[in-house]
Amino acid sequence: MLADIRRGDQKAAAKLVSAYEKTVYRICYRFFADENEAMDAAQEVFIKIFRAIGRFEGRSSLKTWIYRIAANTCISLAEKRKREKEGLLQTMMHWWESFTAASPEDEVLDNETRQLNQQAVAEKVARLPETYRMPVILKDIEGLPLEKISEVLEIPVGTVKSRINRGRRILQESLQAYVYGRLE
Amino acid sequence: MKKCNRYLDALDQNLAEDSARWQDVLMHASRCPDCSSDIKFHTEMLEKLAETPPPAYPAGLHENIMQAVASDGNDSGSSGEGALAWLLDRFLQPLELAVPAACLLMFVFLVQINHEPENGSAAVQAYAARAKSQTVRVAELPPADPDALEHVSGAEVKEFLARLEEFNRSHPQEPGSVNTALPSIELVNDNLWREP
Repeated sequence: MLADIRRGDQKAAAKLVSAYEKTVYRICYRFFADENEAMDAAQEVFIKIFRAIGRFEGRSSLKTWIYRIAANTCISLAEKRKREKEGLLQTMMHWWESFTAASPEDEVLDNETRQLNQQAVAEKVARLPETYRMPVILKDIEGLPLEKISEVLEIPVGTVKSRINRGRRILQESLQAYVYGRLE
Repeated sequence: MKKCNRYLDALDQNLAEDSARWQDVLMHASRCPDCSSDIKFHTEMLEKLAETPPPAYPAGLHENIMQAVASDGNDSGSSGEGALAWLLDRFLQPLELAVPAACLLMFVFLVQINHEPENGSAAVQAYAARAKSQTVRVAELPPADPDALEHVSGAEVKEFLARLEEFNRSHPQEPGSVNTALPSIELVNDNLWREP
């Protein structure tokens, strides 16, 4: 199939997309927790895959290689978005949020109904710092072994472990604050 | 009141791999309400993460991806760069040719002036001609007399010694004076040994 894609076979390219589109979209969605951003990222991932497929040497499996491109694309897109958001727009958003914030009574009621649900977890995962977000997604949601994550992210296993632990810690504190209304 | 974070800190430091220390942490957590609560929450959080359902895949996922890939292929790798990038390219292309051409021209010019000094400016040529005319030719000088320096009479030597003696008398050197005409090194501790 790879040889066919390299020769410019459109059917082979479509076959590759069909085989991995859901995996790529799922990773991107878990990273951004937003349909539009996940779709943009998935498209970007496949564009990169077809640009680089001529250089794929098969040192890792195709799936690992695609995971790697997806992870790197998500991280770089998130960093780009963050840079774009910082500045005037961010200031205006904070100003607007201060006007539209819920009243203390609403917050108390809201806190009582808060619980550790999938939606809250997914949103908080998507708010983790980029460094810790992808290791946590790959380990705790995708269920990849540490060695595979190390291969995908191209970092040592020890670093993967420490990033997962740190990411989980941040996630837990963030979720506890959300559920118990400690900080937020 | 400050919450106990011993369990979370232990997780953060990856103490779960050290069985002895991990047992201590679990013993502490069994008595500490904060850590017990953290353990419960942590377990529940990991369960929720593991049970995260796959997202609802958009209907046009495959078509959108194929369209993006095809559009990137048609633009031969320049898609998404926008009109500004296209304009910059248009302006940079002639510049890319002009810069090496200018460098080549400069190189040729420098090589030419280094190897052909006669073609320099009129002022340089005039200066060179004047310098050439003022050059003393060694071959035109009269031959030197090798015995000329040895002919010093006894009277001349006597007169020189008498003048030297008179000079020494009129300029007596003080016993501790330093000859300032010659360079010398003086250390800080040297002054300690000098008599006041």
